[in-house]
Amino acid sequence: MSEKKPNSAVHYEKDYLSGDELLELKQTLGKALNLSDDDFKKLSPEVKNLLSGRRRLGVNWLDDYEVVAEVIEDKGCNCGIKKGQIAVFDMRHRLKVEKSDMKCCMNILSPVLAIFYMSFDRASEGLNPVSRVWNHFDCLVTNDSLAKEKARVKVYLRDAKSHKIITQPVLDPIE
Amino acid sequence: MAENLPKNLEIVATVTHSRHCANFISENETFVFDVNGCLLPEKSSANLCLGILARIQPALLNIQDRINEGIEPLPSSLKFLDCFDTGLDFGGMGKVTVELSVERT
Repeated sequence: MSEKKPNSAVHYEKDYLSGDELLELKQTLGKALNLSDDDFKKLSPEVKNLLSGRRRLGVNWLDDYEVVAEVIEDKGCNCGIKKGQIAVFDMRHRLKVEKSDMKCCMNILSPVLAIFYMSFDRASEGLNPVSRVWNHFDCLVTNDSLAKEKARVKVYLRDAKSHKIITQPVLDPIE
Repeated sequence: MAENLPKNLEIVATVTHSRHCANFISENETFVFDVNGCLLPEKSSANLCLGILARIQPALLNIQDRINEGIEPLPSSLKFLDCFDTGLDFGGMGKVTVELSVERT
């Protein structure tokens, strides 16, 4: 049996953000999220990673973009969701009701949360916040058709103002 | 989806606790759903954060199932739910907790 000690299951063995105090973000974030100096010291590397996306994509990236879940199939749906309808989220995964026209059925919208688990991580790497792999989601209700007929959505990123769809894999910071 | 569900019931998730929530969800704000599991934005007062809404979704199925069986809609074991963010002390950022209730309209 190997005598090598297992890595910590909590944090990465090599954490390049461990000494990063997020100084240029501290004042803004502290005020917005009611974080004291002690709170800042408690931030895990994972959360620092989450917050550091601003360095790559610009300080306003959370407001510059939005995520759209567009219905691409509605057969078998009993909630009234129709093909072509959309649900729009801001980058903080808040539903923008004023820009959405689909019924807010939680059985189809809940799976979309996974997009936002990836979006902060991808932003911290300077990538397009929406995954190019995991961008199709379907309703959580299987139905008698054994999942052949159910509502499905495709998720994409768009500019919050122009609504231009953004597919480039690496984004340029917006100045 | 179950058929013939009563239309005069709504499921309400009331925020009982909020700490460092990046979406500024505050205590006593609400998320309101119909019995089919659809969010009713016009009746909800909280910011519609998917991090807590997705957490509530299985409970909506549970409540719908109980209504379908003709028993008390709210299961006693599923009164409180918290959001997917693990919170500042546990590797996350913020934490929101809600209490579920079923109300007649």
